[in-house]
Amino acid sequence: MSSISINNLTKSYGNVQVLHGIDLEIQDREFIVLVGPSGCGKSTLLRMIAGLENISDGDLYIDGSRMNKVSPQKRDLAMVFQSYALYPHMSVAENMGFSLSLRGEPKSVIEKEVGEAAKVLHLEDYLERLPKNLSGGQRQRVAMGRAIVRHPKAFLFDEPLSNLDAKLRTHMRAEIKQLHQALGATSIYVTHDQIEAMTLADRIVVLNAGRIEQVGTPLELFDKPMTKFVAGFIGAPTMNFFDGVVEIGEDQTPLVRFGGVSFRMPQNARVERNMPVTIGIRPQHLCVTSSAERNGSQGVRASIELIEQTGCETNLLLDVAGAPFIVQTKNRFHAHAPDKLYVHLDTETMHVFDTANEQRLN
Amino acid sequence: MPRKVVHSVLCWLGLSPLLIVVLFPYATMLSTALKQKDEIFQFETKWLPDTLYFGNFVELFVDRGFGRAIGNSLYISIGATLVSLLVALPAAYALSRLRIPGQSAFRTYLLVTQMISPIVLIIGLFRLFAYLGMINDLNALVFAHSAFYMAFAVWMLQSYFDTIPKELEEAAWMDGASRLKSFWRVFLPLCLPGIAVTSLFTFVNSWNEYAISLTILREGSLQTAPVKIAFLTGTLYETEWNIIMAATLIATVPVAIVFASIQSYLIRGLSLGGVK
Repeated sequence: MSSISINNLTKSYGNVQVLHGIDLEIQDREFIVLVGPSGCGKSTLLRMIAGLENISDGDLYIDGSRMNKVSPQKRDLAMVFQSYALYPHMSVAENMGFSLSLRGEPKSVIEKEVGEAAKVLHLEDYLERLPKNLSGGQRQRVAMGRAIVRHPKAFLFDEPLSNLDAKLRTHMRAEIKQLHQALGATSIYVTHDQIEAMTLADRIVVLNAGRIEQVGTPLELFDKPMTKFVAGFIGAPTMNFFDGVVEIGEDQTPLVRFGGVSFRMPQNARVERNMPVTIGIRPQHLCVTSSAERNGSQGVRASIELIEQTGCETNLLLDVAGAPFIVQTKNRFHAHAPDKLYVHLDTETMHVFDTANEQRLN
Repeated sequence: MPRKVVHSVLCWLGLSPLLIVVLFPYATMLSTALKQKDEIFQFETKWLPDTLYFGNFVELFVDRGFGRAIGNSLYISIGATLVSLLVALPAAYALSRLRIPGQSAFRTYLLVTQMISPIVLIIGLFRLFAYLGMINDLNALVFAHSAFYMAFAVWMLQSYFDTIPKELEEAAWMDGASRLKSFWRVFLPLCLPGIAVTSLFTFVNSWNEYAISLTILREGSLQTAPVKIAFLTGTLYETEWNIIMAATLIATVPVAIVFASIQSYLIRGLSLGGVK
């Protein structure tokens, strides 16, 4: 097991730069998830760590040694590919033992290691099968097994669950988490699925357009997103945003106007008069009532566009003063819900961003 | 009758004219090769010979030295197949996997070489091999044939290599396999169908080639099977159909053997289940 250190790493294809100076320290035994929209460079970063892509500039250290020019064979990392990349002409046992046989380990050692991994992954009954005779979930497990038997310095996962159906994905997600807890291996996991990121990671790295937006624990990212992008990316349904201009109230508190109503902004927001700001508020933090007033504060008039029932929650797609809002509530709403609805915003749940540079202000 | 049976009967009925076209020459060959000379020129042609007569084959091998010709042909065809694979495999791999400047131009060039008929090049080739002292040398044919069919082999192998997912090799590299080892233990086994088809084509083309063999190999003992068969027709006052047909029958055997031994590799979908 080992630590990985990435210093000012860049990647360019010709004139196109896809990664702009990535800095990241990954501790021993840590589970890091790289998350971001497609094309943000997360897979490229992983492949550079693996050695499958050249490093254009910057340094990569594994356990303190510089790895920039070291071939993937010699980095001692294991990778689980999105497509699994199982060797089709080899049985499950041969697939899993391939790295050991390349190392020249004796047959008894290979059998023992493969057997142990198969036990952990519930693959004991399939060892003689070819990959084509396995289901998607089993193939995925074989790919994991191939990584486990090697006892590598770190595991790299490139969207390993994206080819599975939703139910299996949830199941395998839990298995990966359990496996990490059992093995305690340093892991880097790439995904575009923020739920996977939230549930698996010790720390999440949010990437956007080849830059790191924020690094933090899942709850840090959820509770205190440092940029509007992170706020919008983490959390489902997506955070609601509206733009406004800062006003200063009579008691010197900053206010923002939305839908004809003035709302107090958080006290700690670093704002000044007439500053354009973007306010973000999570769908779970909004309150919908049929009366304009609630606890002495005014709500904004809203009309219902759509009601989605998920069973546990109800998602209301609203039109609030011309802005599309999603409200998630535990209360059951029905299609004959009253036309006149009011949305209430609480000051303490507001995320304030600078409209100009999208950085957090509170 | 169940629908399935009706379906297959109809299919066979539809295919039978084709089958006749394919099988007729073989039937003629077999029937003639097993007849005695006198029996062939009877006015009423019969498909079945009066007695099964194997004397034609004996004469072919003992008196006419046809075994020698088959041997020469085998040497040249197997040699040409091996040499062209030896060069085409790495070439196709490089074209498929590495980024090389001028790659598409090179591919086009390969295709263009296939547009020139070998006949056009014969005089040039003869002078070349004469200069190298390789007239009446079977190896000259090995090189000439492998050169002719190499472009096709590279083209065909590259198309096949392109279908092998790159991740499989990358997975092997991550497992600690060197480029050569991953090529040998992961890539090559998956390419066997492509390699089998390519070598089959090269072998058959080389086996059937006539003009260059005729030109370069001047000595009777070095003649290849197709040349020998041609010489059986025109050298005497009479055309000995029984001998010729026995020879053509024999000449089809190695191709049939090669095809039969390779066809188990031709199964498609060998790489199924590896990715996705």
